[in-house]
Amino acid sequence: MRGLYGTAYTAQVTLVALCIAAIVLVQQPSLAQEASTSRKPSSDPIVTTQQTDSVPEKQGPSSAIQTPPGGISLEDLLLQKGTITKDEWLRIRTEQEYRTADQTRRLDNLEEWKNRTEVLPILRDKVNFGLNALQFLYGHVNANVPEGRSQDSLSIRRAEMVFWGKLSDYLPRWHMLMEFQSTSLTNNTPLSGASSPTVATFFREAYIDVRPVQAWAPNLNIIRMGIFRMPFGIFTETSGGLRDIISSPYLNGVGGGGGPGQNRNGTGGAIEFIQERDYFVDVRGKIMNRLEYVVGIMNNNNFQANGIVSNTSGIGGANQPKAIYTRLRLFGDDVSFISFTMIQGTSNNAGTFINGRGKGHFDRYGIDFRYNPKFLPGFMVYGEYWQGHDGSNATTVGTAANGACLDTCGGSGAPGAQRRTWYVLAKYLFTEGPLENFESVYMYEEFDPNTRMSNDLYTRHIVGLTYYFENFPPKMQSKIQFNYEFRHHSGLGPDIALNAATDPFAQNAFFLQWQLRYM
Amino acid sequence: MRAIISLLILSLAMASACAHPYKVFPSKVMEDVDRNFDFSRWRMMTDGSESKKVQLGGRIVQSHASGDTVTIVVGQLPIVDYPAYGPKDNGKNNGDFVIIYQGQIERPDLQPGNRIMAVGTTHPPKVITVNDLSRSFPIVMAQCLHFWNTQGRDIADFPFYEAGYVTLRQETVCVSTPTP
Repeated sequence: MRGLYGTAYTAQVTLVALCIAAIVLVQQPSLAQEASTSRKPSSDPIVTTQQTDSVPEKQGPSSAIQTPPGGISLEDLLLQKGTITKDEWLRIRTEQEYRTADQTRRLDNLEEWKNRTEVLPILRDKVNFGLNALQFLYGHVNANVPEGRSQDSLSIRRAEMVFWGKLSDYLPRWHMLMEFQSTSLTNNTPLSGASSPTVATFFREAYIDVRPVQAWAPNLNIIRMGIFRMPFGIFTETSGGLRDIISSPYLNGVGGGGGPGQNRNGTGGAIEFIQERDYFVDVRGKIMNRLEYVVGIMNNNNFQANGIVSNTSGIGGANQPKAIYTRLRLFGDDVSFISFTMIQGTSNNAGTFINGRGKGHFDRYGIDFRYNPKFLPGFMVYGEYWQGHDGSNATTVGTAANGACLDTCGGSGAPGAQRRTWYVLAKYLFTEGPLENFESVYMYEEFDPNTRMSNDLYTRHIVGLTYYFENFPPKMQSKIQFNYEFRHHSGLGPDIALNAATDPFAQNAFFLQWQLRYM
Repeated sequence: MRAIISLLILSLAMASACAHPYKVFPSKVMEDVDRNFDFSRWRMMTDGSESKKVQLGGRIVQSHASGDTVTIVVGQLPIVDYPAYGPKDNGKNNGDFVIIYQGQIERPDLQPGNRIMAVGTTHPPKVITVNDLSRSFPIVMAQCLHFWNTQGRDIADFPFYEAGYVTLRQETVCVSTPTP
């Protein structure tokens, strides 16, 4: 078929060329004569065929029919020498025209697709996605476990996808993080009676940034609203994909997990002294490139609280909004700093989604630091110190509680407690030699659930070794981590016995975790 | 409580108003820098133009270290004061140039996509090979360099970035004896 079309096309072009050549010969005999002696084969047919195809000359590769340097092409030369006939010459030129037109059409198609794809949001930084952390974990805890459970476990610790984009200079970022490892089906904390599974959320983070006046940035950089890691210290604000140890520090969560339950001393059960995420609106900025600040207000009821907001009535869950916070961070250089954080407000036990919160006044005071010397870039040390008060009758999530009364309204029955915790972590990354890409880590921490009690202290030493397959934080980090934890729990305070054999926070543990991160 | 908040806001507003613009190079290095330097014109007419002291910024495209000489191919970006001081991606291809620095630079600072700013003198073009293609680039012999380790992102994206808080690593280096 193509051969037939090709022949017809050749004949058509030949006819047109001959007609125009005849016209030119009649109207300008002298010019035609000149052409016939010097450039007769190349001039007229080229012009004709180009006109019929109307090929735009500015696109595509250099045309195959352009006269080469020296003014004469190979087929012209062959025609002049009589090696090929005029028909053959015309066929060659037509084939060349066809190829050029075909190339141009293809390039036009590519240009069209390029124009289409260039406006795709994913290529304009409006929509991006990445793998925040995919972590496979093997863990072993020495504690005695109940029937049906095991000291050893294989699990997916995190399966987090992150989505983000920049819509404009005034809306510099939107952000969502999905945790596919668990939808976190969480029990509510009713006023009385049994709790029931109430909320589940896929997302862990979702926020909008607004930069109201460009010229005010970075002094007043952004207003952020949504749910995200709270600006409380270092660990809380560090993504799980960039943490230096496998376990969360005690300031984010301690107790529970098969260990002793809540008690009248306020020393047992799970306690989340600083929640990692919450719903908030705050203002952030940096002054003179040295003093960074955050001022905001938050729900103070963890990320699950979104699930109990009624879409029809608008009535929200407990503790909303009841705490303000500020953080001032003073930089010594680009990466070393010291910070002061304050949280003030109230908390509730009824309806809470944060373990260890009571009814009444709530506060936290924290100081943190990080030092990364320029003369020893692989070394870093950082730490945090926190102290704060939880209201009375603190309860673990899912245990009914109704107010501050100590014996008649559920909860732990404990009076309000002052809690305190601190840690210090040091690490060294080998950047050359046989241990290149290995990082050694040591961390020590303490958690005192009630500063007025003795014999209730949690302590932990963690020694770790990390090997980085890829280490380009914050975008990429693939690594394998090994942590051994020397755990000790001195007790639950006066008059309450601790069975250390079944308390996972009183028994050593080790973990091996493989992580991928790419965005 | 309201008084504390009001005081805090007032303090921040005053501090913002009094804040000096952030600069990364010593003021002595910035002396004699041509503030009205026309990058586009320089790219087009490097042969005929005389050597000038300039400050240029951009995004690292490629780099190569050989001995004590580091050659950095940079896609030029405008230097802005806000939302964060430094080169800002304006979504346009403004043209490339090459920075030559006599000294040592840490490898992480030279990652493609990092933002860079240089103070130095302009020189006639040189042929540099980028992605197996040899091209002629206008040259800046750098006296001082400043790096933002952004890995392709804008400076203003930091530190409240990704799923957490990431401080932006920066580095300033200067040659011991300024290049003529």
